[in-house]
Parts: sequence; structure tokens; C-alpha cells
Amino acid sequence: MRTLRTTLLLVSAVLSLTGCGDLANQPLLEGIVRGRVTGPVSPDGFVLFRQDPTVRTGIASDGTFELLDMPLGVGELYIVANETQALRASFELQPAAVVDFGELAPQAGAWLDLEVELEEDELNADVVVSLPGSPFLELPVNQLETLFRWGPLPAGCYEVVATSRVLSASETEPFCVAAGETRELEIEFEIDD
Amino acid sequence: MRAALPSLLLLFTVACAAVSDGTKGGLRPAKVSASSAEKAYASRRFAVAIGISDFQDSEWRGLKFAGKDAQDVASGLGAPEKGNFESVTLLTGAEDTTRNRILQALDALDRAASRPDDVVVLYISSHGTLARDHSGQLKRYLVTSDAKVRDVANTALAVETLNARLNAFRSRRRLVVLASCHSGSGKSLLPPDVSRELENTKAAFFARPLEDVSRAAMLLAASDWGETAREDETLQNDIYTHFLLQSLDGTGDRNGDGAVSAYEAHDFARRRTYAFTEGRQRPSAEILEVGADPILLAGRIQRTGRPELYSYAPNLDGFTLKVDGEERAELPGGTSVRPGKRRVELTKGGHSLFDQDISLNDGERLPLEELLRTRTHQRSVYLTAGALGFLDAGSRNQVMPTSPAAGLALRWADAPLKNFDLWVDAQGFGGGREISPVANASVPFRYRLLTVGVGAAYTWRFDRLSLYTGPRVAAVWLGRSFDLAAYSGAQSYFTASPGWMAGLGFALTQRLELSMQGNMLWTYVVTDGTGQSVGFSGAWAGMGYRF
Repeated sequence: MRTLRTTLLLVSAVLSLTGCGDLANQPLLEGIVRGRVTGPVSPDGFVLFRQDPTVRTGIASDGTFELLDMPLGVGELYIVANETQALRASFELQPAAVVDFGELAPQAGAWLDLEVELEEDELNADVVVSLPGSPFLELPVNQLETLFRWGPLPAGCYEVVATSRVLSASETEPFCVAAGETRELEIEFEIDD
Repeated sequence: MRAALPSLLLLFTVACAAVSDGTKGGLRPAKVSASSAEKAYASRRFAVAIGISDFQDSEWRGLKFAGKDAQDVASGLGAPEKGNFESVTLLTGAEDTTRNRILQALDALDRAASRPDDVVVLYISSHGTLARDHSGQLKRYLVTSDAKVRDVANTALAVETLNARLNAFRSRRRLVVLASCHSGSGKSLLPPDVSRELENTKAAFFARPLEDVSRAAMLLAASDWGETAREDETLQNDIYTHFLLQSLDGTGDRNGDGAVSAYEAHDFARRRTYAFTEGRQRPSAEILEVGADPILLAGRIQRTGRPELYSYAPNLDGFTLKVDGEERAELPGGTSVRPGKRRVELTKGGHSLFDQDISLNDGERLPLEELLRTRTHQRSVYLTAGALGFLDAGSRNQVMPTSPAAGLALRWADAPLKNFDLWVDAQGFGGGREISPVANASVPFRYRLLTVGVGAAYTWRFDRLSLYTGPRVAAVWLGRSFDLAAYSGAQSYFTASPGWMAGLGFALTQRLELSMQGNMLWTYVVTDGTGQSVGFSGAWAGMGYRF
């Protein structure tokens, strides 16, 4: 059996020497998403891929944006046009295709006022709080009461997640906001027994 | 069994004691002289010569020289300076040439010639005739002394019966010489009803019965079908027999090897009979067993003979054999030539069927039909259509789906070795296809695919069918080009891979052949920098032209 395997490996090695060129499917597994935000655009405006918030790009002064090397499948953009306007846009990307949203009209952004409360013995639990699919990720909570004000948020449903990096504990709080709405949310962080 | 056991043990003990001289086992030299050994292993020659001149039924007219023919043949074959046969039985009188007596003589001949390499010669000079047998088929008969014109099927000796008896002989070297004919004239008489029938249906007469081509030995006939075998007053013999006997004194030794083979004797007699009768009588030969071990009628092979070219194939009948531009023989027949490279040509009516330089060695006997067949079938070119594709679904989805293919294939028969065919093929195609790099998504692309293969296949050849299989090495080149919104580019990959092929061919005509082949390669494909061994197969069907 070992001899057979060795033979197969040797033949494969010889065969590999006889081959040249390369076939690449990787370019087919990516795509481009682009569009143009109408209305006033702040230099701080940005577009973020909600499924992987590290993928983000800025918005040009004419409102155009383009995300390269986007993974295939269904996804959603998180767009902040200026200090008061934002929107979310869904898409489905086919192999090596371009999704062009055309013109996108941002709406009044929503705001989330979040209060996270810890117990005394949780102060050293390295608790962080995130809003997945947004730029607000892993923000530290190191006081008994910590206030966050996040916005402008595109209208839609979200989930606030508070996690201890030291202890196996997390709190999840889903919520939905409408355009222009300000929402208050309170999380009391409790460590599981 | 229990009673026999002590006897067997005793026999075993005695046998062991008989070979024991104090040492165990080993080979013991036997005192046998070289001449005794040569004699013991030399092939023996036996003959029966039958001449039927007189017939009980007066409606068969008597033959003048049939008895003398048989007598002369017996003398020629038995003479030490000519045939030097071990035994020659002569049957000539009316009593000795009845149907039963002849069949008894054949049985005796089989008993005497008990070795496969013994030579058996049966010579019959008589009338030939035709009659319908019990199933209504027209068959050839030899008229025995007791044969009745009105009841040929039951009283004469059917050539078919003669063949069946000879085919059952233990000897594998059998020669039958029929100094008779079945034309209704000369040395042939036909019953009145057959004569009347043949007058009206001449075609049926000229059609050769099945029996004439269904044996595996040599049958020499003094005349071809529909021709007349003649006796001649000047020669005092059947004409063909006269020249056949003449060849035995060494005159017929065409290749100079010291012996006169049946082929040589027949060719000698055939040419002279044809010339003597000014083309009216063409002795024929039916030879289905042709080998390098000829039936010798006179002398012994003392040296390697000159190369010989010959043919008795009916399809070459009437062709002229030219060697180095010189006319050497009219086929059927043959000639011997000097060894070396010779220009061999077959022509008929100004048309050249074959013209090629052939290297010939001493002792070589080359049937021209074989030369023609080999030459005709040596190379083939096929126009093919089929499909190429990966064996695994992953590669079909990721690299390229199964693709149609068209191309050319070339075959060299018996190259590099006998029964091995060399194959060279090129298949390719191009067009638009789709792959699925991720589930439920397809990507259109254009491709070009080319494979070039070389293989050597062992080939089994049957009548029209040939089957082959063997190793094959192929180069595969694949080019893909994409023109998509987010990616445009061309890619290519080349690899050489070992594999195997198998196929079959079916000859439609001498020139055209249908062929199918399947092949498989064990190839190595690199995609996105990662290589893997995968199976790649092809299948095609094609029409081939032999040249």
C-alpha cells in the first residue's frame, strides 16, 4: 500500500513537472459593488459591507463609491452619507459580476442611546459591546454604568452584543429603528453561574 | 483395483531397478547414429496413384492414358532419383478402381502416414462429372470404374467425400492431384439430365460449389472450372500429368533448394500445360494452407532456396508479376528471384496494382496477396468526432465541462512490432461553455482544447473486426478566456500525461473502416496554484481510409 502511494506521489511529481501555465478561478469568485449616493456627502461618509465590516470604502465628493473584490452571494451595505443621513442596501453578487445600485437616496439617520451596567465584580471582566454589521465594534465597557450614543444608523433591525473576553458570558439585545428615530436601550450585564 | 495393486508395485520396482546403476536420476546417453536419428525424424512420403481407363457402364467412354498416367506418376514418385517416396500404391485395373476399393486404399494410406509431418499424395486420373446430390445441390464427382451414368450420386466418388476423408488424416501435409475435369468434354462426361440442365443454365455450372473452397490442404486440378482436361497422343499422357512428372526430375526446382515442392511442380506443369494447349487448359490450385513447410514431391532440401514470390489468390488471377521491370510470372503462379532489394510490380491491362521495392532474403516465400494486404492496410487515416472531458465532477465544474471534439487519427499497422499498431491522434475543439465555480452559479467562457496523443496498441484482427488496446501518452492544452463585467482575461494550461486506450475497427470495404476508441489519461491540473491528479478521458468514432 505504501509502495503504491509512493508510486502515485512520484508519478504526480513527474506530472507536475510536465505541466505549465495556471488556471485561475479566484477572479471568478469575486465581484464589484458600486453606486452613487445622492444629496450632501460628508468627507467622513463611508460604505461598509455588513457581512465583513473590515471591507469598507469612502464616498467621493460626487457621491460615487466602489467596493472591489467583494465575495459572491447575498450581502448588504451600510452607508453613512453625512452626519445626519444613512441607509442600508441589499444585493446579490454573481461570479465576476458588477452590482451597480445606480443612485441611492439616504434617509434621516436613527440614533441609539445605549447604557451598559456592570456589577462590581465584572469591572475586570474585559467586557466589550458591539453593534454587528456597523462600524461600532468591540467598544470597551469598564465602568459600572457606561453610556454610548451611536448614529446616524440606517433604519432597520440590529442586535447589540455585550461580551466578556475573560468570562464566558454575553448579552444580546435586538432592536429595530425607523428613519430619524432615537432609541434608548439598557443592558444589565450578568455573568452566567 | 485391489488385485491390480501388487502387480503395479512390482512393475514400479522392476522399472526402478532397471534404470539403477548406483546413481540416482540423470540423463543417460543413447547410442543412436546420426543417420538413424535423421531417418527416424525425417518426414516420410506416401502416395496412391489411381488411373481409371475402363468403366463397367459403357456409357462412360474409355480413357486411353489414365492407367498409364497413374503408372507414370507411381514410377516418378517411387523412383529414388525423383520422388523417392516411402510407398506408392498403384490402382489401375477395373477391380482396383471401384468406389469401395479406392476408399479402402485411402484408409490404408491414413494408417501408413501416421505422423503429422508425413507427406500424403493422392493422384487420380479419370473422368470427372457433375450431379445433384440427395439435397439437390450440384456437386463434383470422380467417375470410378463401377460408377453408373444414371446414378452418379450413389455410385461415383464425390469430391466432397474425398476431401472429408483426407481432412480426417493424421498427416497435415496432404496433396490431391485431380487429372480430370467437370466440363462435359475432354476427360469429363456428364449425365444426360445434367447436360441438358447446364445447356440452359450455364451460370450455375461456372459457380464454384462450396466444397471446392472448404478444405485445408492443396488440391491441384489439371484444368480450371469449366475447362477441359485433355489427353494427348504425342505425349501419351494426360497433358498436365506429363508436365507434372517432368518437374520431378529436378527441372521444377524453382528456388534451387534441391527439392521440388508441390507448388513448384504445379507451377511448372501449369505453365507448360497452358502453353502446350495454347491457353485452352489452365490447371488450377486450391491452396488454403500456405506455410514455410512445403509438401515436397521430389528430392530433399539441401540448401536455403532463393526467395520466392507467388500467389494463388483468385483476386490476383490474371495479374502479371514483374520483378525489376522484367515479366516473371502470370498469376496464379510464382517465381524465384535473387535475394536483395527487388522492385516488385503487379500489373494487369496497363494498370499497376502494386509497385514497390521489397527486400527479400534467401529462403523467404512471400505470398503476393499478403504483401498487398500488408501494404494496403499499413496506414489508415481517420476523421473523428467525439467528446473530451474530466472524469470527476469537480474538474468538470471548476475547470471545463465535457466538450465535443473533432480531429484526425493516424494508424500504422504492425508498427513498431507485428500485431502492434502505432496510433497518433489529434483532437480538439473550441467554443463557448459554462463552468460553476460556486453552487447555483454559472460562468460563461470561451475555450480551446487540443490533445495530441501517441499510443501503441496490441491488435487482435478477425475477419473484418479488429480490437486493440495499449498505452498512450498525450499532451493536453487548454485555453480559457473570460469576458465578464468584473474580470476579463485569458488563461492556458499545458500538460503531458500517460494513459491507456482501447478501441475497435470494422472494415466496411478494403479501404474504408469504421473505428471507435476510448482513452483515459492520468493528468495533473493546477487551478489557483493548487494541483491535483485527475482522470481525463476521450472517446471518438470515426471513418478511416486505408492507404
